[in-house]
Amino acid sequence: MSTQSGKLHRGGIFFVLPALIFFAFFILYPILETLRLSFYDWRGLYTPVFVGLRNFGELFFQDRVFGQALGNTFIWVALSIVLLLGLGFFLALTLDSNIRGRNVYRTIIYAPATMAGVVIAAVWGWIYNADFGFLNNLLSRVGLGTFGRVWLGDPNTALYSVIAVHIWRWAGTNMVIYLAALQTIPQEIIESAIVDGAGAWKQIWRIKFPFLLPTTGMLAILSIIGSMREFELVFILTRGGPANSSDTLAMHVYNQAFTLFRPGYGATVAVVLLALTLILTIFQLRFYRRFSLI
Amino acid sequence: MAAMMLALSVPLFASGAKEKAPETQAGQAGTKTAAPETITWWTWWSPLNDQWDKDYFAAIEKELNIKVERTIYPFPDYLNALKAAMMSGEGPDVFSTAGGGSPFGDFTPIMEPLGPWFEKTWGAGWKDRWGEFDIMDVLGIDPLGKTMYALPQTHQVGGIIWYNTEIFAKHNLKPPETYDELKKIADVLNANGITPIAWGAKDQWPNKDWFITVAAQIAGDKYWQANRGNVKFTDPDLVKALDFFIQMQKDKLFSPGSWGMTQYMDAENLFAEGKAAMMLTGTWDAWLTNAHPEGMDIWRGFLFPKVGAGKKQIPWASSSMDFSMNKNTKKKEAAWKFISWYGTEAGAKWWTGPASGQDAALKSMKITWSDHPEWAKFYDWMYSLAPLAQPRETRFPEIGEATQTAVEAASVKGMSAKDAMQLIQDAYDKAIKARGLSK
Repeated sequence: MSTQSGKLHRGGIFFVLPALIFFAFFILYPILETLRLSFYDWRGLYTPVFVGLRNFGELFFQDRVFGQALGNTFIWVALSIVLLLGLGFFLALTLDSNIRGRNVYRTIIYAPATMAGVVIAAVWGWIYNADFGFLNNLLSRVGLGTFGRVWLGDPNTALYSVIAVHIWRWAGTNMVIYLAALQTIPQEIIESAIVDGAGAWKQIWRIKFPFLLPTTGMLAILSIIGSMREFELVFILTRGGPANSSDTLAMHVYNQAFTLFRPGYGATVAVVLLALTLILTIFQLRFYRRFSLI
Repeated sequence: MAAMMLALSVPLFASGAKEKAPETQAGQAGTKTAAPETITWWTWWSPLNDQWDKDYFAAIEKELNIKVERTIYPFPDYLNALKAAMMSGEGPDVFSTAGGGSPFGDFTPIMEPLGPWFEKTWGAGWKDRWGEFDIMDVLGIDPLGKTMYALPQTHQVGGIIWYNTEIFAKHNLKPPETYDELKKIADVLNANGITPIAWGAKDQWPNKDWFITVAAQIAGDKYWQANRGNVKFTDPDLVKALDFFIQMQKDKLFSPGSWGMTQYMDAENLFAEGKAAMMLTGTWDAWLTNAHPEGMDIWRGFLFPKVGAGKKQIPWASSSMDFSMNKNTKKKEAAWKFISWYGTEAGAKWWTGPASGQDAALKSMKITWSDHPEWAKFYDWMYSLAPLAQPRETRFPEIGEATQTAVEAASVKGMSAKDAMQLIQDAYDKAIKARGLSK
């Protein structure tokens, strides 16, 4: 290392120090503290009692809700990846063409991403309302009344109804990112393909899709992280019910820590949630790197 | 994110309590020869309005020569903030609690036992100052049910089915005396496109309310006995009660959309707007008449009707807000002066009456509920039920949570009532073990 680069590094540290302090206090410290808490039996009052791995034992072998919350979280992640990426890609392709009013459509589709989750949940709570909600009303009016459901109150539909809102909320964001990525595809490649007789379908699968794979990889990781931590929609729309049928790990953390007042055990659930998010993210990163997609 | 929230909550709540309270308001200055002593009081209650608040603190200072610095947190932030502050030795001198059990039972080691203070102030017969229910409810804060850790102040009575007399009259219906009559009423209402009973099952807590209402009729006080470990939650009568509640849903007493509805405001709106004819509620819903003044004319109530041969009809009640003292406060005399004020009519009057819809725990207080004679009569009737009531709160939060889950699992997931009740028993066993209790 040259003297000059050494100076540059020292100067660089000075510039990143505020961010590092912020990261250490607001990200690293809470994570480490949560990890520490997960080994304690603590009801929020009095001295926490160290119990080693007992909380983890309870979580994996005795906690009836954990299995359901874990399964629901995986369903959420899987559907989010498939639907958010698929829909985002489809919308981007559609609105990348010269259709009339495309900017209006783009704005409308992206708008949910700018709205507060609480507002979105409140609005969808009304839409899903079985007695006077828009959805059942609409189904009745078009002669599909038999498909009406207690969307948020039926264990068979509650989770999927909330996931649908999540997809509705974030599909526009993926669309915008895909749209930006589409602009980076060299136009001459597309033109050459057209000259060679490639139709729209071939252009998508042979040129655009491969070009967008790095973007897809990045969006998939963001989707996993976003899905694993989703809380507000579940909390407001279903409270994790009925009968835990829409409980997720994030919701389970909340219930244990703030409803049942077991912050120690809640931290244990949080640690598992964090570990799963890390594992899935690292696995994906490796996958993409192995195939040089990122 | 959740992990971050959780870890941050402890240090931030602790420091937040000290440095930046959500709302702090000192009492108004008075003209006293001795400087008023200042004490701190934490609560989750908001004032009724600014003028009321101003008058309230002025009265405290004038009558007690005490300045009270009040901090209000929304519930359940209140509990977390209180725990963090107590742990760091920076808790308030006085804090609000609610009787009946969860979630204040965990606080008892840092609460001042108030029995000796009661005796010192009002003599050996101090218990006679308050209603029987109020004493029982405050004793419920103690997991062992023996020590008074709070001064009872107000209570509310629930487990009452409010009904719309206009709808009933229109369809020639009268309040039912048996379950069969209730079912027939539901049939008539359903046939006329009216929801019989509005129920916000999505909120979960109304499910526990419903279960204890039904259980009280079918199993007497066994649910409360099970809370104390005297019978099992899997007792056949309690299993029968859950089965009965499932049958009520099959009998279409509720809206089909109940499981997707909140109590506040979906279900309450259904009832208030006349789209549902009945609603399980209690005295606290007086506020609905602000938006629907016609309610005073048309809303009345009845207790859950008798089932079969019928047993004693048991309502439930809860104290709205009691006062507890920090065991480690250095200002015990001043703190007790403030707390004991609510054991007198001069203090108790502030939180009771038509504006709050709450009755005083103090026996001597007689409240006129409304200028509307029939509405006042209705409130007198509801509050006359208090001596019969059982606590609304469960002994531990885990039992309440498990009761909600059990009702949901049996209602929408097809779990047998026996298995569902076992969930509550498991939660009870775990809660007892976690607290090192024998029962």
